Amino acid sequence: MQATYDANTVPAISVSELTHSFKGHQALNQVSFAVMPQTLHGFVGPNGAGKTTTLKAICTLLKPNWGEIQVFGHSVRAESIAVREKIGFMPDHFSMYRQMTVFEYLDFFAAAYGLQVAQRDQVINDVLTLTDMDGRRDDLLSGLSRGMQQRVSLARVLVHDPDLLLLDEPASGLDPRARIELMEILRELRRMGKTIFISSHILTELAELCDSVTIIDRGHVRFSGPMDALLDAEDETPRFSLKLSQPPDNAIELLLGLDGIVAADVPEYSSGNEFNLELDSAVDSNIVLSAIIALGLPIISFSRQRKQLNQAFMDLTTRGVPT
Amino acid sequence: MISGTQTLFNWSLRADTKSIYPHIVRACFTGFMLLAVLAAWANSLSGVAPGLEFFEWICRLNVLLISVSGISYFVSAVTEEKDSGTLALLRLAGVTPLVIVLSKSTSRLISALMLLMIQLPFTFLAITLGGVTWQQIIGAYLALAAWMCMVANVALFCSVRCNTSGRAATLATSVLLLFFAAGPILTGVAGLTGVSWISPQFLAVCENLHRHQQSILITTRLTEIFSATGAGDFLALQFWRSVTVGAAMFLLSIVFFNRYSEPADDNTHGTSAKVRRFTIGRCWKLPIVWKDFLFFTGGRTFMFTKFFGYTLLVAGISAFHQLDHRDTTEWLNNELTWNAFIAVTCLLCVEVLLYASGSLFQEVRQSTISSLTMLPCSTPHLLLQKLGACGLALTPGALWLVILLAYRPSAITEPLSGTAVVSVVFEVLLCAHLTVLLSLYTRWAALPIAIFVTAISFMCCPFITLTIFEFSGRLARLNGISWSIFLGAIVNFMWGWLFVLLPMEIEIINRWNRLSRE
Repeated sequence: MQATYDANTVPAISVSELTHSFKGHQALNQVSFAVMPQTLHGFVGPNGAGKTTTLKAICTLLKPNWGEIQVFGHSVRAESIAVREKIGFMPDHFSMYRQMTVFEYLDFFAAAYGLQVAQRDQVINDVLTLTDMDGRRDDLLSGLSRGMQQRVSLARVLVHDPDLLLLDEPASGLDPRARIELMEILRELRRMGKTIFISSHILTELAELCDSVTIIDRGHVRFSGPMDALLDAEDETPRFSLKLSQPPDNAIELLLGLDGIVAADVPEYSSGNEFNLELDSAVDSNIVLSAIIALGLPIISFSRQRKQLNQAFMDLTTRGVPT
Repeated sequence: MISGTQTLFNWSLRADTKSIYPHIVRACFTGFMLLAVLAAWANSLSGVAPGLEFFEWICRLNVLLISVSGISYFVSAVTEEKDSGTLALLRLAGVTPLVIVLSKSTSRLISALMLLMIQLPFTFLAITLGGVTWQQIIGAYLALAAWMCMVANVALFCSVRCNTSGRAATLATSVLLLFFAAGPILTGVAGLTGVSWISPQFLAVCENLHRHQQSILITTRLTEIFSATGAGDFLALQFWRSVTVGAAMFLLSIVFFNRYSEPADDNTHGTSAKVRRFTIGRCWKLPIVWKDFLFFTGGRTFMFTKFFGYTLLVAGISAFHQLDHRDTTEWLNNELTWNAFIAVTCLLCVEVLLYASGSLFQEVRQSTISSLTMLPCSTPHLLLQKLGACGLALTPGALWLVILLAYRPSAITEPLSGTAVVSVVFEVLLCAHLTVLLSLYTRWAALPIAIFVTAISFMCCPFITLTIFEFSGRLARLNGISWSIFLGAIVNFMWGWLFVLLPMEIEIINRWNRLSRE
């Protein structure tokens, strides 16, 4: 369910003109974007684009050279303690006390956030249930698999009930099942009203999961806004999918002979009854559809192809690693 | 085998050369040399042979430096691979224990030899100044080389034996300190000829052991070389024995390599949930105190063990007194109370330094700094909680100090001067601060380097303390203040804290914050 906002809604994260360099390398250059409350916001970019630097600046670990960051209206620079209470940060590498059990680890962080013993019991039970780890509460962290450690790490950032979760590559190194389960947990957290800011390389899953996205490349924001706005952006040649029940052998020739169809081909690995069509942007797609029906082809479906996040990402970012 | 050794050797040498710390150590060493030149020049004014005096300075400094650098360089030779989890990869690549030990230690040996190389101009200067013979120079350098061989290989063995660099450094430092302390201890025991219950055979064994220990000790050999009788035989007993011990340790390192190449297991509390609930319990209101007390210092179990150990030590000294004076009703006489107090103090100091070297370093090693920094509390508050955990773990030793002080106050306060107390306490604080600070910069050398720097500073600290005591005492007398000793102590600590410890504390916080961003 997409939340609605008025002009007075305070963004969960507001980053404006964030600039940072270290050792002569410009990591961030005038980075600006906003994340609205109760949304799942993806943060993507190639390696070395500045994602982790931005995340560290948001979670108060890094003081940027220039720019302002606010979390729920609190300045990260001036009110770092207040900001830390509102956020839960899960870094891309595991930082665990491996000699502790799952319960001891969560109990430690809950106590560090000032929760009383009775409260801690309740919270730990809740987060363990949410992350499906309640059967492993007495296991040593050193004995858990990477996927389970990831879940414990996620449980850890939830113990103080933060409004904003900052997750840096939470699905890296997970097997497909663990990744799908993690995404389910994130959806559940969004339903619970949390704002989630997630940095990831797995674009297909982000496209399904996120309400909005920011694409960063070489320290510059290339796009920031709703996912739909990115994926439904108008192309010069709109692409459509056509599916026929029993296509004739010369279907491609017939289609290319119609006005308004610039290109037609059969997608790779298809059974032969699907076609990709590129239309002339000046021609109405309804007219093309009427022409196909007029040809007598047995149509099952005719739909506009949505741009893939992968494609958008490749269009917006630059090849190679920054020097 | 040759190509594997060469590749590893090249890689290790390159990594060591790129590191800035060995270069800093060499620069500091050269600085001390210049100070030694000045001291020799000052001594030459009073007619003493300046060359011999200067060369003696160089050699004594070398002993300290070889002992420290021997531990610092060599304890990480194998443990750095264990720490980074690359030892198994090397083994999978077919690299044998001999190749690993040989290549990793040779690159370090070259680094250590660089320290001796930079002394050559100063040695020629000593000859120019006069008073030192070629025989003395060759004899001294051979003795130092043999000492380096022994210390380096003992450290290498510790590196093979232990799971982490920290544990290896602790073990090697303890072995070396025990070796140096063995001399006075064995002399003391061997001198107890008047004690009725100690058998003469036991005393003879102690005497014998002391003679063997002295025959390996570098300081004894250097004294022999610089005495009026001269160097004598170049390859003395010290040389052969040190080289033999070094070679034996090298062989043991290879033999036991496979047995001790497993990664570290940090869990000391067992896996049983019931036992852990009893020994660990729920997190306290000061969570970092709880975490460090239980998972770094060993928790309640280890605290009780330590208390039992300290009790055994004092009980042993008391039993010694009871056996020697069967008719006495007192537990300890004045002298033994003082000895017990000193023994407990020394152990407490060792505990302080070990905690200082590991408290923050364990967070660096486990990459948990950013998780702690993200907690809603300031860095000083967080570090104070870590200090609190170490303080709690030190209570058994501190409790025994209080008990001994309460039992015979005069036995302890009478031999102590204000200057000595202030100097020692300040030096321990300085060493602990340095160790904490250095543990955030180096992976393994924090404790040895801190001890080295503190040992150097100890030469001038009592002088400064005495001056401040004298000045504050006069000031107190002028103003009619009778407790001038307390004024002196307060002024000393204030100056020491303000100009030495506080800057270090600020740097510790800054370094911690910098590391949390990495």
